[in-house]
Amino acid sequence: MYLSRVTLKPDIGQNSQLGRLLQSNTYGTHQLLWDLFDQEKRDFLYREEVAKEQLKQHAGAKGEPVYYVLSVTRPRESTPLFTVESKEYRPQFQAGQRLSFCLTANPVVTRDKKRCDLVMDEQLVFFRQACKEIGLSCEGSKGDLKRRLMENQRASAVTDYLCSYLSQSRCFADAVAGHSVDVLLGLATQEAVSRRLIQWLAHNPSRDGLFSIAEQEVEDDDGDREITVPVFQWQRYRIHPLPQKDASARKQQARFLSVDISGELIVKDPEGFLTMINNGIGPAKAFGCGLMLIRPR
Amino acid sequence: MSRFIQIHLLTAYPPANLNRDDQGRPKTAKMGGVDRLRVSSQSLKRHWRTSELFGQAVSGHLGTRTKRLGLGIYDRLTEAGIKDKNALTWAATIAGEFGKNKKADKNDPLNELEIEQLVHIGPDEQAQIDQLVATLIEEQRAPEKGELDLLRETTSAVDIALFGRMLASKPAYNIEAACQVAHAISVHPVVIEDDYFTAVDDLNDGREDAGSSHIGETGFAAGLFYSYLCINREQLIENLNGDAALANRAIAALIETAIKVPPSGKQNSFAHQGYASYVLAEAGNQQPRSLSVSFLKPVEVRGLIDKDYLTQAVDAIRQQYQGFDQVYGPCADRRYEICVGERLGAMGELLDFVGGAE
Repeated sequence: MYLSRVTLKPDIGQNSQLGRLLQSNTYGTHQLLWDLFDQEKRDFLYREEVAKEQLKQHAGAKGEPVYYVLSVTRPRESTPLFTVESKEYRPQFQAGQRLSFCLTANPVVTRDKKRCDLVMDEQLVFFRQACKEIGLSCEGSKGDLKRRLMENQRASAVTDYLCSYLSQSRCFADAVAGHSVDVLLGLATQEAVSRRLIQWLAHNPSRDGLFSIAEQEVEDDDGDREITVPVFQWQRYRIHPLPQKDASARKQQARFLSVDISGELIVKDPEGFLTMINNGIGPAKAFGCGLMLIRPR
Repeated sequence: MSRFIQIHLLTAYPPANLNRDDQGRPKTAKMGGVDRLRVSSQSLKRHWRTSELFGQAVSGHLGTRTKRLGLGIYDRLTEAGIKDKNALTWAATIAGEFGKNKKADKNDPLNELEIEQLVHIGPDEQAQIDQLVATLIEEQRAPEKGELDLLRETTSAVDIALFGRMLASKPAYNIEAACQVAHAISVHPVVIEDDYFTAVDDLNDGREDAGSSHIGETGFAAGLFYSYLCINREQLIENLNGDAALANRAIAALIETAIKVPPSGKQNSFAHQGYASYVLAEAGNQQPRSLSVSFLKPVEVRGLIDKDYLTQAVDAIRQQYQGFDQVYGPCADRRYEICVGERLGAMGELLDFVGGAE
């Protein structure tokens, strides 16, 4: 395998209008990555990042896209558009090894034979659970449930429930007490999604046992106590529209959701882990999802 | 008397001492358009407050932070032979004076003795509680309403007097902090990009210690930090119920701790690595101002400049305060400087300066 860092040539990225055009049309840039290979079938994974390096010796000026590409064959060294740096990729893992990772993924769950977005699904699940614990009705849509949690006669019960839920997370109860219900609900939902994503990433049947998410102690500066939390974070929950094949068809535009996940993991099964890295994680691999980048911590 | 004491510090912290966020990455902040390493003020205060150095310097005058006040009272009552049910009610009543009791729990009756939020109480308040408990045991009765005013508007605990306290349920007994602490910020930019591409070489080698070669690139680099504290001496004396001698002791202890104790968790053994390399102490009645603006333009070592980060940072601070003085008139009545690189100043003299800044 080969791991490559692909950046726009300086003449294009910094000095030409073409660079700007490409920056505002990321999907188009994605397609251009195909130019790096000869084969018809996609056998590479990729990931888009925005360069944020501050030192000049790194490739990619601030704000420009950088692509990481993991491929079976070695990509072209250069195209009219891109500068390509490639390295042979044959990582040697040991069980117990601790690695930092980042991943853009499209986590989905199958409900009623339909693929649903996992983040959306967890919000619904969490709201239902909260309503149930507090003794409110669990019926209705996500919006109904949220409204019910925000506006009811038992506001202190809701606050207590959310604070106690958060007290075992990195959002300490002491730190969050005093916030309004909607802020607490936001934080608690974020925490619930985080737990669900960990479950999806590390314990999905196809990946269970390959690695686990590392933990670390966090200090609560106000409470003088320490708590063990997973080294895991999710952010940049985004909707990506896909180009319409037939613009005249009045269907809802196709789209998918992605989430950026990062953290630390511990390798359990080196061989299986390598296969997983090479094959990619989850759906939407043609759209920049599934490439897990890793480095020793 | 000088109302304000301002302390400006330049300290090179080794990587091990950095303040990490909950992802294990160093905390950062953007300033002057570039990312800097940051150590949060909460973290600084916590490590100063809980350090051995500070504890010894002001021993007997430290507060306790707890949620479990009621449990101690309950234990003392039951040990003295008070019936369990009474002990439970009385202890819960007293604890309830300091915060909202936790919900009663059938499986754990003692749960009610804890309060929802941490309360920070001083030794005088603790003594008051002990006194009340002793009375209840002697007279075998429940606490009366008039006996439950256990909180004080002033304190004998220097940590409460310096950093203040908030009581959500009894705001009348809040104590305003007499000391402001800024987040410590590195004077130079740092690269926080995780370099996954460079790391491939180490992964390919399968080296056990892989990763050590990236220390400089992943933001775990050591940093030279600017920190700033401002102590309002009048407020501090007021918080300490007029005890000026204790206030002076607290100020000296805090400043010595701030100079010597880095934010390194409980690892006091790191302390010697974290001494400040430059200290500027200022005393006066003028409105305080931080000198962080000295580093708005990050200190960078470029090309053949024959100066390191520290020398440049010291120059920048001096330029800045002299500039402020020139434009606005003197911003402090008196100053005392320590600069290790120039063999300038001495710790003892600095502590005399701040302790007796009358």
